Amino acid sequence: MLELQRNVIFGQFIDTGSWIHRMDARIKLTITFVLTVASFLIDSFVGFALIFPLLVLIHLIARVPLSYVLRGSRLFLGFLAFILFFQVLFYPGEAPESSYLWRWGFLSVSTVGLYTAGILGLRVIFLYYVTTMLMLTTSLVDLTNGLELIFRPLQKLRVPVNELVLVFVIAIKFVPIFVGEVERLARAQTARGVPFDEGGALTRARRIGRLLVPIFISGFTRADLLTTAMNTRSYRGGRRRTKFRRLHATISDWLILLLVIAWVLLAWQLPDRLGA
Amino acid sequence: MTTGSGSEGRGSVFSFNVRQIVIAGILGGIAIFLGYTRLGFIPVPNLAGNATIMHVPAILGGALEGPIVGTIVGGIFGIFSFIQAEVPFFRDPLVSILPRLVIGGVAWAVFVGLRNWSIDLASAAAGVLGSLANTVGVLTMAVLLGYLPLAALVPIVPQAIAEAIIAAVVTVVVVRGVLLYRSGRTTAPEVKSDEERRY
Repeated sequence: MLELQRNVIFGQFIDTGSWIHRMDARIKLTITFVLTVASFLIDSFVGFALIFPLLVLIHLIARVPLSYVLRGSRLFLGFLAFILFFQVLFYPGEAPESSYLWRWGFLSVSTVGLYTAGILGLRVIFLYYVTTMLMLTTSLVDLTNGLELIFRPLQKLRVPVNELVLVFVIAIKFVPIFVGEVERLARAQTARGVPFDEGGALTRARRIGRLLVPIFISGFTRADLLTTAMNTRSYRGGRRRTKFRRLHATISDWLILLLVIAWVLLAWQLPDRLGA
Repeated sequence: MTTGSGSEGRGSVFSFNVRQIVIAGILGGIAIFLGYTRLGFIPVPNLAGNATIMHVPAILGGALEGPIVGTIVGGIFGIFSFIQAEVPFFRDPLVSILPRLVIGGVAWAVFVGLRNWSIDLASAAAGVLGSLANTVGVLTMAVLLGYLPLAALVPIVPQAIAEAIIAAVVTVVVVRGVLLYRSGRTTAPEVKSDEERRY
């Protein structure tokens, strides 16, 4: 049986009312961006070890249950392990002869391959955690307002910022809906005798294909409904609209941003300095 | 084109109507959903790690709603694969995002070109060529930027063919379904010929 809803936490928002939840959305988005850049810059285990306490700190302050995040990440972690396994086995780069632990044809396990896969895995988990935390701690309204304000300068270049942000928000908002829907479809088909947890990989893939077409069609159906709903309410982009809630960045918000940047610089530069 | 009133929406580089915004958003949502739940991946043992059908929403967006929607859905797919990159070369936005913008445009051009001939043929061709635009675009960028050696492409060829076939099949069925839904008919006609009862 497909159990998705319990194992997918994309797009969820858990309001624990913590200090991070109340932070200015623009600052949170900027911090997420800084940490995304950090995931490219940091390329050693020491660097990731240095950045780890920052994540622990964020988690403690946000008060989101760890068990909830872990359970919601099972699918992701399982898949990641699978990918990394093949990354090690098919390591494409040059490895010195001495680093091979095992070799068979073009398949190999080398210490270089293991190291690269390890860093890659940490990077992916790091980025996954940061984006997940952003969504868990920021309501959709704040996210929309924050994105619109950050990208507002692009309006001068005649980019339809409000519309594009709305596209993203609709996309994020609909993910949990589709998750629920595909689970219901799977239940309905199971009830009619389609076994989802039997058979080889190919048979299973074919059965999942049977879920996809209804998902697309219901997507288009929902799109028509939503279009009508928005048209009847005279939606016309962000033109001349005022905000009911305005975002305020306080001094402490800016200080936190500076702290995160400093932390990232430390984790990026310190391992090199120590090594040199 | 006015220049002074940049914040006024009018005079945007490209403009959307509500319907395009909504469909782009929902198809983008399906792309993220497929990626996040891993339903959109078929694991295969090679360097890419998996075959994907995450580009299918971009193809459908292009074919049914035009190049702007297709491009935006492709962009969402690209950004997602950039953020969730489990394979090193997708960590470069030039590989993970840029080629994906093309999928929708290709699918649109092919679909519109063949539409008057046969809808099924047009959908299948849009599926195959949109899918190939994705594969060829990504791999070309990966090779050009030196992430992959040319030799690494050989094991990916069967995967590309499989992806194109899956995309073609899904596109044909979904386009039929959506057109049927939009025609407003909710049940198959009971008295008409067998030909129409297929749907």
